[in-house]
Amino acid sequence: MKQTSIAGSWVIERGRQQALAVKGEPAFEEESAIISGVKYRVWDPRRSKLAAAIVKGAPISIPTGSKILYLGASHGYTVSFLSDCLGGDGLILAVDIAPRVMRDLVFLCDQRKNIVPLLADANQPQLYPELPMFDVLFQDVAQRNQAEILLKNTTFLKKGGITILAIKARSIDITKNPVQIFKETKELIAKQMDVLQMISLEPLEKDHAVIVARKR
Amino acid sequence: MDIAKLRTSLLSATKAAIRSSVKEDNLIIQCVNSMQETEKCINMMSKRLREWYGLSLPEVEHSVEDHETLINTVLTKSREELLKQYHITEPMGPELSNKDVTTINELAATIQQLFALKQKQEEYLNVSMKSYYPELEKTAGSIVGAKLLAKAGSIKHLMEMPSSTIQILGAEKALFRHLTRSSRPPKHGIILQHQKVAGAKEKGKAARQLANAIAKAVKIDYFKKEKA
Repeated sequence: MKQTSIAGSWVIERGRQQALAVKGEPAFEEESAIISGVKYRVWDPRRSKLAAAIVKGAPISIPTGSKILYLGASHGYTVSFLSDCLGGDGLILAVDIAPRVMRDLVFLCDQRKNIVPLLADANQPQLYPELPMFDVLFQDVAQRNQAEILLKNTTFLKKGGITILAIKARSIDITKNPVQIFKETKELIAKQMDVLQMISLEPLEKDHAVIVARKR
Repeated sequence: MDIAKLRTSLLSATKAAIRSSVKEDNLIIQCVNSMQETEKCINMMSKRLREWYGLSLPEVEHSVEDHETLINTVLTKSREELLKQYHITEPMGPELSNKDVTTINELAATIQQLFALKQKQEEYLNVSMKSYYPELEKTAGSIVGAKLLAKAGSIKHLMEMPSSTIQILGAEKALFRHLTRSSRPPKHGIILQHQKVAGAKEKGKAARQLANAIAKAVKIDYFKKEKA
């Protein structure tokens, strides 16, 4: 079992595939794995783009107690694992625009004290309430202007903080070649940030890539 | 910054925002989706009933095409009455025991209830669409209007859509096939269920005209509400 660069998570072998393991209370009826007598939650890289990025070796380092701004939290699958990784001192500000998924997220927040929900449009960060500064910005939204949204939200990121952008090529333009879209998005981001690495998520997620960058 | 304070205030703000996000369009969308599911259930269960009932009276099952009529026949008439009514002298099916007939009738009664449910849901949609989105109801009709609303996700989304999008709502598969590989574009989606389009000779033209009218109607409904 190998510790990953995200605090409190390990890489485990699940059959032919790799997955991540995290200690904590189950939240999504996910599988659990018992390794040398300790029970872990299995973090499925096919369901979570962050887990997929880590399994594929993205240079993402998230220490305990980090503050994360999470755009596109949805039902909170990834958020629930991050919550266990960060511990009580950490903070995840989970933003989503859809009231329906926010409903599920609020139930998750009731159980986990380090998650804070925010029903807002990530495209308009100027409408957010007053927020602290964050160490990490994670974004997984199915919008056309994904790169633009990321850059707008970096105002809430500390200097030297990292951004993790999960690009969904299909929502940017379904007629274009995904590789071309990834390249263009990377160039857009490189104008304002230092891009550390871009990783394709194939075969875990089709037509998805992750860009890790650092704020200048 | 005090994180605990932030958490409490944002948690309650989020709960309030979720509460106020529930509007009449959400209710209509749930109802129309439920109605379509009820319809599916009815078809599935009716097919089974036909197979089952056809064991004992295939002649009746064969000659009654409408599901609802068949169910009423099954429930109200005995084998003897039906043999006489349909002039069957040599029935292909055997007479079943009371126990068997009761089980079949129970299924028929359940489907009959589903028909009643669907009827009520349609009435509800009629009333709701008329009172909340009168212009949309006038141009598209309550069922087609509600289905478009369900596809768009909300009245706001439908209002923001250009008429060309409304025209092919529900034909996404064909549209993306057209965009990615060069097949011909779809002419109509859900809109085809409207009489004006279904009965038209030039369906593409009728679909475009109806979509234009709907796009205008939704905008009127939406902004009248905004103003009020």
